[in-house]
Amino acid sequence: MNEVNPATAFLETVQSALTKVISSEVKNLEAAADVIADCILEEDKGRVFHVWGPGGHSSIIAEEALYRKGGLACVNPILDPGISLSHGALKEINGLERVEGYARAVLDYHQVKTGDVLLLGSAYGVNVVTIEAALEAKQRGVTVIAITSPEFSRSVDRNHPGRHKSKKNLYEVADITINSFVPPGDAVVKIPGLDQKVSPIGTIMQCAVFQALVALVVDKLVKRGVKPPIWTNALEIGGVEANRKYIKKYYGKFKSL
Amino acid sequence: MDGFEFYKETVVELLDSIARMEREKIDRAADIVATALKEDKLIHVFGTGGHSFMAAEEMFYRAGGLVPVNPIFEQGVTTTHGALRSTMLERLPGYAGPVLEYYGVGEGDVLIVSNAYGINSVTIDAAIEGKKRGCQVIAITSSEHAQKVPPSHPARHPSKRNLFQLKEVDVYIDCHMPYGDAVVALNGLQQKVGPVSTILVSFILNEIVITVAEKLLAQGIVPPIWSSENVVGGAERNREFKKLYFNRIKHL
Repeated sequence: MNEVNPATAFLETVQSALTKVISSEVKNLEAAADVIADCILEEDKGRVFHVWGPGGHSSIIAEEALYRKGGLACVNPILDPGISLSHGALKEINGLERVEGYARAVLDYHQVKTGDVLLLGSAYGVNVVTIEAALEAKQRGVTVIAITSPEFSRSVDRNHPGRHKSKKNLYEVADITINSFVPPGDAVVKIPGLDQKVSPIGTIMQCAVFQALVALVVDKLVKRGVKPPIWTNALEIGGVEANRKYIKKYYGKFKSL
Repeated sequence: MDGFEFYKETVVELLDSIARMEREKIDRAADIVATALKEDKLIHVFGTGGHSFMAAEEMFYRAGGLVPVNPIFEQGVTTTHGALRSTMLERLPGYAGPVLEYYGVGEGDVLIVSNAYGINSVTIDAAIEGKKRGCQVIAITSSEHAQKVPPSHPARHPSKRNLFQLKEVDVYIDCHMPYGDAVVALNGLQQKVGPVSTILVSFILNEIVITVAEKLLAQGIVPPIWSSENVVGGAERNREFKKLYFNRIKHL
């Protein structure tokens, strides 16, 4: 009998999802990267590029954006302790991400304002905090870019109690959407003998798309004659010193730093 | 009299008036706590906004403090994770519910809600939810302050109610904090300096603990009290408590 190795099954599923992104999302990545590059080029005019994943595991995307070697220093990673796993996973996932007004408070606290760009990472793209963030940001004249899975959003009943009162999906609100091809249910491996699938690909896909986007943004900036600030690994010799000038510039500006 | 003296005199006066006017209610609160401890219930302490958080810290894992205290350290309503953020989040209706759910606040427990101002959404919701979940609710708050804030103030819960007046509160202990907290008026400065709320609330909490300990001892029960980890023999005495409560108290 042909037995599929579950580990290879998982990895191959990731591979095929990445292939889907490569075949169809380049134009969306380009459009998003142009918008972000424009914003970064006008940093001196006060424009800020924010990254937020409003939800438990969604929040991981902002950790990717935060003080990582090879990452952009000129980004405000929004890591809200309440909308994350770090201060009680159950509390966040079962409750806080459904509280109306929470997203607005976070955007206020991080001073997300007219002219800024907000990248929202949410594979599912349906919870209250995510949709409220997108709608509120648009109302403020912020360009909203989404890394999300429309197929996943569509698989969630419009009347699901966890939804935002508008019943909208993130991809329906965002100005630009990049599809991360996270399948409905997130978990992708069927183990014989078990009803429920295991091993979700959400984080990998969301973060893969994010890092692909960063590479494109940096490329565009360099082609426009600007060398953007990139974090050096603090563990390398000279790493901390190289980072110091960026830390000086951004430590007070970006709360998560 | 200079500011230094005035602050001292004022604090002493306020502690004195608490001792005179709140003693009976502190005693009732201590009865409630002692009964809950005998039934192996937890004493949840929730400081619902900004510096109110310190109430939970004061009661928790403290040398000479009660062991079965479950501090509700909600990072969204403390200054520790973004002070400006906490002012916004404490005003959200619906926030307190998931928090109490998360900490397993339930039937037969005691919930102490501490907030000197006594008006924000998380404060009011916490008391209401606590009662809904079957707790005895003890409130520590300042009626003077709450009464001076107009109903339309944006910090208020949509119901416009004050913590000290909620029917859901079983015992309310007034912390006698004057309106605006700070008490020392200095020439040339519009805003007073020298806030008193932390001192007053800490005093009340510790008097509750002392009274609980006395009541239990009078019944022949040794109350569960933390020893200091920083004295000889302290860690050994604490060992059994840590074993008993490590999995029950989230922040232990």
